[in-house]
Amino acid sequence: MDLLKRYLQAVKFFLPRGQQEDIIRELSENLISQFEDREEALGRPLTEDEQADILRAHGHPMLVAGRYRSRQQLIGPVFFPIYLIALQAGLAIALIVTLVEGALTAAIQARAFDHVIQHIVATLLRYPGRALMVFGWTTLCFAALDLAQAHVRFTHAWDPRKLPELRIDEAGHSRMHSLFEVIFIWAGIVWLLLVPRMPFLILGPAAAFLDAAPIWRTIYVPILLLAVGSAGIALFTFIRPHWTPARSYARVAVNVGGLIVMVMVARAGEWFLPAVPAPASAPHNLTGLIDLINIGVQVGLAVAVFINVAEIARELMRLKRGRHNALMHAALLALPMLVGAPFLAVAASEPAPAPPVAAARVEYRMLATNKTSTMQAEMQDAADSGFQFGGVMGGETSFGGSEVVVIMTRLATSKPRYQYKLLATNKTSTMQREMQEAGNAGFEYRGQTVFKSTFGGKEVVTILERDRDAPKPPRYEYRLLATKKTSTLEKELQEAGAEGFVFVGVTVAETAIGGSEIVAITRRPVGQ
Amino acid sequence: MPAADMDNALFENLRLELRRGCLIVAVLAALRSEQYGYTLRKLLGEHGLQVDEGTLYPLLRRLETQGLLVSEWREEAKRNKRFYRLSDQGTQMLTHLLAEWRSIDSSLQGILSEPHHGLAQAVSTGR
Repeated sequence: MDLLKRYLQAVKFFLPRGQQEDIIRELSENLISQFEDREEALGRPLTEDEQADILRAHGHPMLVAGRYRSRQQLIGPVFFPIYLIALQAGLAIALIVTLVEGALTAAIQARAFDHVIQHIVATLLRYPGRALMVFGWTTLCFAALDLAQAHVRFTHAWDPRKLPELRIDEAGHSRMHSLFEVIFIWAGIVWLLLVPRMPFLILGPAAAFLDAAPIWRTIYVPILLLAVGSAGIALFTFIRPHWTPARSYARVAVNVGGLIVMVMVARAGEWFLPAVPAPASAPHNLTGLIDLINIGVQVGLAVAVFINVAEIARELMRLKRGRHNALMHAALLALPMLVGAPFLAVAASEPAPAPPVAAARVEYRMLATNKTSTMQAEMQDAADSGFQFGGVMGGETSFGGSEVVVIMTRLATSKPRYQYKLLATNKTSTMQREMQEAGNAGFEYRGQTVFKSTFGGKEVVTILERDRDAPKPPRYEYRLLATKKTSTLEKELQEAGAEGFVFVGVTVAETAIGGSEIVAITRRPVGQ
Repeated sequence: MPAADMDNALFENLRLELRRGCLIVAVLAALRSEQYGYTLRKLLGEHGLQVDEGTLYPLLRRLETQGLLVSEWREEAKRNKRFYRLSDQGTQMLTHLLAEWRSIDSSLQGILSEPHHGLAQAVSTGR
């Protein structure tokens, strides 16, 4: 009987506390009766092995006690299917939230590609904890719901006419497909957010010698908004995989927006420019390479427009098959057009005329230094505060000795839009080459002077300006004419003029090689 | 898992599901006369309905909680035992359940007697 007592003790441990004594007493009587019956059949007392066999057949103490519990499961069969769907959705949403968080953190905080990976990995490592939390809370909520199930009654008071409309896509949209779509679009958004700080993400190694044209800055925010819109649609599709008219309308809206952006980009005419200053690693045939890249962009744009139009047509066909209200259809389609119209207007219009000078207060900033690099940095600082180059003079000042003085102006309403580049050399041929490179990158001649530098002797300094907001900056071919004799200069100017070169500036330079020379700068427009 | 084992496991699951409802009717029917746990189990076994103790004893307590059975501790053969019997509510419930049981049996017989059912032939030939 020692074995029986040990068995009952083990069963008791797992029983509900309030019923322990009662159940054990009854169980004990039943098992003793069974033992006695068996002993009577055998005509002798049971051995320990025979007692063990009976107890083993009765069941493991934990399982036996478990059957006396009123609650046999945490979530019953009524709520279990809904629980599974809720759990899947919760885990997927947690994953998407984690990915978005990782993407945004990387975009905001990362300073290099390695940091991007670190931020994304660090965020992804938070997912298991979040998934566990989602699992725990979902299970707890459904367990509570199941506990209250006795009071919840599914009645017949529901209207079948309020069920969702018949689905048009028989196959629907695979959830896995939607999930990948969500992940890829968000990855694209991260990429978009990183590109301004890490141009190599779009240009690769060519980022060292290429600059993006100003048009990309103009359409950057609209592209970002369209990508966020697409991500929203993909998320909606993931949650509701079956076709709905709302999704088609949303897709059409995003595609129409995309089309407008593409038109704006196409109108720019050129999309990549040579970097300024040109690095030593720049290829010799940089201009040809840029032309090739721009042609590639043009072809890519054409393909993208075609795909976009096809997508719009497909969604319209779906809506037509769905026989939705034509008026509502037209109204919803007009909405993105109305939203996109301002972008189109901006794309089509010329730059806005400057406000009348007389009406606005004019501010001045005077910059003086004897170092070319300092002057370029100071001019750019001023330009970033909305100033524009006004004039330049080189000479002896009462404070700084031999200095270059630049005067910059700003209207109260001015916004930063100009970039400046100073070229300083004592060789005319070098100056002509550097000016040409800057000219190819969209810089325009604004002024020149002579700079008496500490180490370089007298140098000719040329100031060039680039308008960041100009959709298509003018391009010029530069020719510098340097001579010691005025008659020769006149002759050379006549020859240049015959070829279409226009005089833009002149200075007298005492160069290291040529002695005192007159340097005239001429230019003629190219590709206009 | 081999196909035969899978079939056996499936059969065992379905058999348990089928027996679960029947067992309650059988227990209620058996407890028209007073029994304690062990003798009830023996009685059911003698009629070909083998039941685990782990299933039967908790079931008795549940049916009592639902008001279908009543129980009392009484001395028999010098030992205290808990005897169960059908309550008035349990008697009514048994009547309803037996009517339902007969209705199901009749429906099933009707379905099986349909001429085109291969299963009817299998049942009738005992295969």
